[in-house]
Amino acid sequence: MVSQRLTQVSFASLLAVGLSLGACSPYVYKEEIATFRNGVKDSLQSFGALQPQYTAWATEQRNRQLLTAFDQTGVVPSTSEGCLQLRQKYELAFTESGAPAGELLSAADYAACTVTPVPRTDPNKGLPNLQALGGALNAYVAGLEAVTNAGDEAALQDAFGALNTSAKSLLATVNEELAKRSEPALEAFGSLVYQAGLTYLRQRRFDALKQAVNVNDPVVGKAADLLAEAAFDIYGPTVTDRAQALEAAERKALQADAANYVAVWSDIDKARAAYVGAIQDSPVYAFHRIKTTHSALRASLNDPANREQLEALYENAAALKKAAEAALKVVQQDEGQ
Amino acid sequence: MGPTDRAQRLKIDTRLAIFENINALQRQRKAAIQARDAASVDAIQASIDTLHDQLDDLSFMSLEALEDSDELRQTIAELRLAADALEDEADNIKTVADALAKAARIIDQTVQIIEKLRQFVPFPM
Repeated sequence: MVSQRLTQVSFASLLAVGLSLGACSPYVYKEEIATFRNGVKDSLQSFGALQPQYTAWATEQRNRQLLTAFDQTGVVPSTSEGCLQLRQKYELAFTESGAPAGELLSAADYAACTVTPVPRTDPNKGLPNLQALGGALNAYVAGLEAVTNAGDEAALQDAFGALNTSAKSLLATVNEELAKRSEPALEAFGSLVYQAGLTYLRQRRFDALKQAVNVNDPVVGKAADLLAEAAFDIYGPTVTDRAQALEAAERKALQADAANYVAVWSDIDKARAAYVGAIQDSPVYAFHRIKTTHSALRASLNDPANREQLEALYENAAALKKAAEAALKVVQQDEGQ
Repeated sequence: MGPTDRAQRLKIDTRLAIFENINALQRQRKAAIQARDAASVDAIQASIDTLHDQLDDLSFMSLEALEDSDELRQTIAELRLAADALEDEADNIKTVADALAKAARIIDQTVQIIEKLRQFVPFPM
């Protein structure tokens, strides 16, 4: 396990290895990139686990809204006027223009056909679909790891090709998300150029990493920002649950007396710890660390002999690992409830 | 600042204003617990729960891809004033009685802001 190894190997010895290797042939950041990869994997896993939790929460909200409305109005389920109009509009549009190149009806026409009453919350809406973005980020980081681990020329060339593909896919996916938000796209970059013929394999791995990390730093930063933004929203109901559990525990104080005082106090303390933990271990921190770790890797690759930059990279990778593991734990706790 | 930025800012301001009110209600709920006034605790709690629901509602309101328009700018300006007024309400909750009397109005204001914002949410594709 990388995590165990990192705790066993002191930072000083890591630095010594890194800098001594740097003296003859470049250090290729194996440990740091492996930690980075694990951090990204855990962060994305917690993000993925939040999505079904959101769907379950939204379904519960929707059902409650429907039953409350029925209780208050007695109106039974039906369909909207838009459903009545839909086929008529379709037939009319076809009669007027025949089979068109585009759509006969607009998205608004389809959206107007609903089951009534329409609840405020819809489990199928309101959640950005960032699975593709998470997958692209994961593939890019796996590409970095493959480059740093390549044991021979052929493996390095393969890894470089895969990294090239994943980097382009990451850029395309980030730009798709930015377009949905009406934000300017990130600039496209040319293919990474594999430099064959250099004397040492380690030097080639270093050059490949440096090139890829320099070019992709803004893309990784933007991907991490988008995932953090979505994680903040999806994670909201989890924090609300913990806040409400704390309120429920506090309510027990209404019945507090000398016989149960300590038990009531302890229940409140337990709920308080869970509430604090939910905020402290929010997945947003892990996504922020993905961004800072990649930037620190970039800084170190551009100045490999700089001890402070290598130290910053180590600290960021360790913080990412800690934040990602904490987020995964808190999200999995909620999954089990 | 683009329309999406303005709307996002409004969403954040509204969330913060709701939190101010939740916190003010929480303080009075704590006072009611100390006074062993279970009926007031439950009444205030019901208002707090409703405001929590409104917060979660706001979380999932996608305001991306809004078209800029005079109407939208004007509405956002009006809603920001409403969010400021909502925040001022929190300062007026100083007793359990205030909390019980004012909670419904706070919820009503919050619902109005969110309903109005919802009108600008584009159809999901």
